[in-house]
Amino acid sequence: MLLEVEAVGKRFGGLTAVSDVSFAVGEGEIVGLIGPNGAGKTTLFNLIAGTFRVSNGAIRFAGSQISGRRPYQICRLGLCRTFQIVRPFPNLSVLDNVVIGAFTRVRERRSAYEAAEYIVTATGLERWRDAQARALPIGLRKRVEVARALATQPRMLLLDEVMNGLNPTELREMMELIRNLNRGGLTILLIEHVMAAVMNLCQRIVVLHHGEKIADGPPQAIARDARVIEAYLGEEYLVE
Amino acid sequence: MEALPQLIASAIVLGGIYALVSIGLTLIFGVMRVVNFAHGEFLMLSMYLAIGLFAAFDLDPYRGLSVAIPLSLLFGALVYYAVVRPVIGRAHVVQIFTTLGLSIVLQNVALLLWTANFRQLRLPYGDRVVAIAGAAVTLPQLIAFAVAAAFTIVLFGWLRFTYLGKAMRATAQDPKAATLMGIDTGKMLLIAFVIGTMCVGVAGMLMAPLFSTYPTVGLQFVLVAFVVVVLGGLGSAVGALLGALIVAFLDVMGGFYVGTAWKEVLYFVVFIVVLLVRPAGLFGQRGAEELGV
Amino acid sequence: MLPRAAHAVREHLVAGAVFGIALLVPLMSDNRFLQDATILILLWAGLASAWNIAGGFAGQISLGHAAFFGLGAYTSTLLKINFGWSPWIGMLCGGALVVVFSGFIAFAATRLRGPYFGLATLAFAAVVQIIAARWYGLTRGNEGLAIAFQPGLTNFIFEAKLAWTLVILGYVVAIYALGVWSSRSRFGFQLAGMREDEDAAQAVGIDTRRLKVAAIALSAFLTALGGTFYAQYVGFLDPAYVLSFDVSIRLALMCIIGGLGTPLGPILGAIMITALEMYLRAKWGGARSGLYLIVYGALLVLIVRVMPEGLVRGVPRWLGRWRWTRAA
Repeated sequence: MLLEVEAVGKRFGGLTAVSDVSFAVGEGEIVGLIGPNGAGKTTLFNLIAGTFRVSNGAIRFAGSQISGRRPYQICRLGLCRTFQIVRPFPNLSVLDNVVIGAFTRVRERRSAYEAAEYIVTATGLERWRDAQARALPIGLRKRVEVARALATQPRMLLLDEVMNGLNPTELREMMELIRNLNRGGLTILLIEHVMAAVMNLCQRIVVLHHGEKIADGPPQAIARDARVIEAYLGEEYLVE
Repeated sequence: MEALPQLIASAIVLGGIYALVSIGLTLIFGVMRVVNFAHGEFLMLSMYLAIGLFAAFDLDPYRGLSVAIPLSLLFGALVYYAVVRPVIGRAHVVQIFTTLGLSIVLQNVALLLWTANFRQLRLPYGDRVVAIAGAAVTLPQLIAFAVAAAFTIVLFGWLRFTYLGKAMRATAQDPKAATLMGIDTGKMLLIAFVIGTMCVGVAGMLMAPLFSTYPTVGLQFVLVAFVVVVLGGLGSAVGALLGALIVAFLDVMGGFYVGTAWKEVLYFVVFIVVLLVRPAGLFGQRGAEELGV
Repeated sequence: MLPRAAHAVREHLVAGAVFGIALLVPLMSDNRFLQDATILILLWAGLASAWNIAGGFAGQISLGHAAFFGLGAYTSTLLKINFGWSPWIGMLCGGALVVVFSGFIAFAATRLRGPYFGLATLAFAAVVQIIAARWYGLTRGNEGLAIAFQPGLTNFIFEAKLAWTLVILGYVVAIYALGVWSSRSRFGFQLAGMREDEDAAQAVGIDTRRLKVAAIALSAFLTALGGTFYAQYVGFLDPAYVLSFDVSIRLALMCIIGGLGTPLGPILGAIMITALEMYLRAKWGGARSGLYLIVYGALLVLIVRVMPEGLVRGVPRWLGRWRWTRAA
């Protein structure tokens, strides 16, 4: 198991955002993390990525403890995340964005540029290589963020609602990209609301509701799970 | 220890004044997220106003409030539209330097118009002393404290109990949610700024008989106001009140035991310690300082 | 914003021209005022460039850099007066001392953002100023310190303006080169990322804490060196000026008007501000000396709103826009 989340909980003062969540992601898997709004998905990501400290529980990556480490350390260990509200470096060019990611692995300017150029091409961004990130449409900005994350040579990517706000074409391209990355050996955990994407891409889905894990299994099983349906539709609509 | 009642009385009077100066600053920051570096200059202008009114119309600063209040509201609105509103929501650098630039302009306009000479407003009854609990307080000090306290209480009640006040606090806590509730956040920002300016305008009138007036007097008090506001928590009116009392005590006690030369160091050090240990202050939003919000 | 190749070349040319002109002044002119002005402009350019490393490149807007300037000036001067040490050595000592102090500011930078950080630096500089002004035994308080005019290389005092010019030019050119190098280096790129979005930078593996400490330490060190030069050149230290808020603001102002985050910005900003100041002071000096500051203040408010990226990036952008609308 590449990522192990063990009985993790997070409290903000009186509010429990995440409670006793445990699951694991094996190397090479694409796992989806879903749940209604406010279920605690992004909080969980923030805990895994080190932005927040866990209130209890432990998180391990490739065998070593990462809960309590700072975000940049976790990235260097090989676990990289993207943000729900896309955050490429706005005033820098697409290439420069990726170069900065590359510099995390490489010290020399030329190698960083080479690596960045390669990734820019591989993610289909060469046309916009020198464009300012903030001038790009949202679909491309998301791709820039993914490209930048890729430049850090991660073993695993945490993608936070990377399909959000994309039109059907962009959606298809992003799904294609994710599939290709996974085929290349990258492990992926993604938060998504776009059900079609989740069902299509993920081999396994973890469902959160009110900060707790309520289901964990292959897509078909999740789609039929009564608790999941209830969580999304609300109790009144539970089909007898 | 015989000096203690006197020290306490001085501290309380000073605390009331600091509170009035600081409440404006904390309101502006809490609602607008803008640090108004020109706040001290608003105070300075108001002090000059007091002197001018007395010299030209024989109007004492307390009756002069009837002029000062509308004037400062107007001035606040003017500054808001001309200088502050265009930079709301922009990068911190832009905001800091905009208000800083304003402060430089105002200081030097004052210098130009009124020269660097120290002026002192002397009221005919300015030396009358009232004895309270073993301490001697001059009449202007007493009135200053009374008016400042009254103002602060009214403001506090307004924030707490009126719709407008609550709307303002809502805007301070979460502007987006406030908009969704039907609150005109743009208007809230204007009102916050204008009321903040009025508070400091009133403070200036009250302070004119008590302190010397000169173009850079604002600098001295704005630094104190910042200490108060950080200590109390940026955006918290209660914090400003408590912070003001604490700083006033430090000021007076420090001045007495350590001497005026070193007391400034005392409250700067407190300032720095608070910023590093608990930047949110006593009542501010925890974590706000890490977001730079 | 990382300069693209075309921008960078243009900026180097302008910088080169500035340095060239500065060098020619003491060589070709006898006007002492002009020579003096050149040296002071270069000093400010260097100091502003040093500030820019923390403020522009790393995005840490310090409002208390006068503390580093003053500490550098006082350290070398006190070492000279009390122990007879050469100010060159004293300069390095001042730099080292200031790096230690800068750790404090850097710590604040890692915990505070935005206006909170600015306030912390302000308070820090204020404390240093008060201590310098009151601790008579150490610094002669408000009386200030004077340096005897004894020309000599080890004394770091020169008779000829040319010598002073060469030294200060070396200072400015070195910092400029440092700025150019760093903007192309891993350090510079990571700083840019941190400046753009600190959280996103951390998410891609950048240790922002270490970057801030490094940038601030470097900035402080270079500022202190300038402090020593000032002490040697002017020959007198007054805590009310040397450690003043005015100096701190001036450094930031020059960078903002010239352009943060570009090595040329502080240089242009320094030229503009110092030249403007000298002109206004000459025209409306004396009792009306407040007037030029009114112009400053107004300029500040305007430029920061209209061209927040500063002259270096803003002017080409405006010209480009103008040309485009004309063609249309």
